[in-house]
Amino acid sequence: MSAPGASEPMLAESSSAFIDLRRASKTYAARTGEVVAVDEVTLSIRQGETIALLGPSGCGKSTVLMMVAGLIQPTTGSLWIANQKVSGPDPRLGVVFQKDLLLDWKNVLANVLLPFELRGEDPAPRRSAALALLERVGLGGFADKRPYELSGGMRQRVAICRAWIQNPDILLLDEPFAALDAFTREQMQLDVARLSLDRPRTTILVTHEISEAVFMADRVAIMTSRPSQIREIVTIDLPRPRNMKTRESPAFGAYIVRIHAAFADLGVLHG
Amino acid sequence: MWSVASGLLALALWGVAVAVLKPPAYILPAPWAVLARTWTDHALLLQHGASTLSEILAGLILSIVVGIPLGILIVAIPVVHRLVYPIVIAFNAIPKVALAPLFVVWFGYGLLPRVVITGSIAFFPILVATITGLMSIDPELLRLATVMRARQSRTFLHLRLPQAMPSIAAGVKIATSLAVIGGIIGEFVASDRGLGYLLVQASGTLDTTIMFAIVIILAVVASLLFYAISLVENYLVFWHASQRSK
Ligand SMILES: Nc1ncnc2c1ncn2[C@@H]1O[C@H](COP(=O)(O)OP(=O)(O)OP(=O)(O)O)[C@@H](O)[C@H]1O
Ligand SMILES: [Mg+2]
Repeated sequence: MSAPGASEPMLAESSSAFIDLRRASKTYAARTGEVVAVDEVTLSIRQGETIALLGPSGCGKSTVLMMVAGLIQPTTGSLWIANQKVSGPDPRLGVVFQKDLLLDWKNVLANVLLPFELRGEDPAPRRSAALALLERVGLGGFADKRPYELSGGMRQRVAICRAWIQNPDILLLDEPFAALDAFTREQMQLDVARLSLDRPRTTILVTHEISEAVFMADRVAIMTSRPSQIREIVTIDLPRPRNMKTRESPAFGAYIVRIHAAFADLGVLHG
Repeated sequence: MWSVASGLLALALWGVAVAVLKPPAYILPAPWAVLARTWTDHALLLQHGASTLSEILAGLILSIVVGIPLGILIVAIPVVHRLVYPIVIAFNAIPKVALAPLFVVWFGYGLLPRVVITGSIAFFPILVATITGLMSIDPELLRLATVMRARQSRTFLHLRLPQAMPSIAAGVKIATSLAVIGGIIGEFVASDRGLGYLLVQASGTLDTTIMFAIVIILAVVASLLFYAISLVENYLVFWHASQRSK
């Protein structure tokens, strides 16, 4: 795994896999007939690894993520986390959805503490941790504000803090930065990378942005629609911790060219 | 303050109409005559008005106390939804005026039958607004709650209920107007006091001036009630877009 261009087969790896999708498919019963959203995806994710699911709109990225989150069951095949078959949301999960889903009737701090509130645990002991987390993503003075008083990027940061406060082992990110402008997006990618410094979290990042995938991930899974499958997995061998310098390295650019070409070959891009 | 201005405008139009057309007083009394009559009879109007207001308020509170919890039960417990909701809809289809004489038989001639009539007329919009508000939660919010392994009761308390509050508040506002109607209907049918009773008496003697005074008082009371509810709404759901855009 040295130069850009290294890829690996899609076979299930050894039992070192932390998250393991084994020929998992999802078929939706739509009114117009059945929709195969995900077709026999096999993917093994090691503990602490960040994998990006990269692909065009509608190729089934969110569906894969929802399966890992235990929100939908695979129609066929199976899904395992730490050698346990998944049948519902795992307690080690932290999820950030595409929409920030903040509650306007609670202030920022209460939104971050929502997971404990919803489980009926006392959020008071977590207050200082939540405040520290907000501080780290640059929202130090905003704990008492309401979500509608924040910008889109600030709101998404609160949503990330809400996932992070549970100290998740597994982080599922469904295009969390897609609605943001280029500068804010880059800042948030750095923020998330920085949050993971203490201990790498097993992360699945759904994105349709090639540079985001390369910057964040250890491996990039290239997905295609019709049939919705993982076509190729590219290993991103860039040093960590990644920072602003990462984007300037020639290797970074080479990966982007390499993945871009892969999509062109698949017919996703043409012209 | 604009509401005061529009009230004055209505009075002015009325005054001009009387001055120009000069109708007989039993058809359309002049605003100044109505005002003078309100002053001379203020003790009587106050006494009957207090009784009407207490019915309206008690009926409104009854409708809130029944409507909101019933709506919560209907949404929270599917069996209640299937069994009870059809009964409630059928009950609402009955013209409540038709029930008024029955309530007199059951509850006598006191305050109680009139409060029950008022409450039974006012509670339906509150119930429907509660149910709609609780049901129309963003499914993605429920998915968020699921991945957080939320308890059902907590999801209800922290997500569904607050999110339904603007809808419930709108229901209570509609109920306020209905409660005023209910109070008057109750007094038409089953009372020896109240502004509704006074109206029936006055119509018997063609005393149009006092009828106008009563109608105006009712309009003012209903408006004040509506504003009071709006203030409470503003306080409770200040975070909602409908309040912030003010
Ligand atoms: N609930 C559903 N019922 C029917 N079809 C669905 C449902 N959810 C998704 N699909 C279909 O499954 C396919 C994959 O959807 P999915 O949301 O996983 O795509 P995606 O890769 O996340 O797309 P995007 O990048 O636009 O978010 C799409 O063709 C979509 O139409
Ligand atoms: Mg998606």
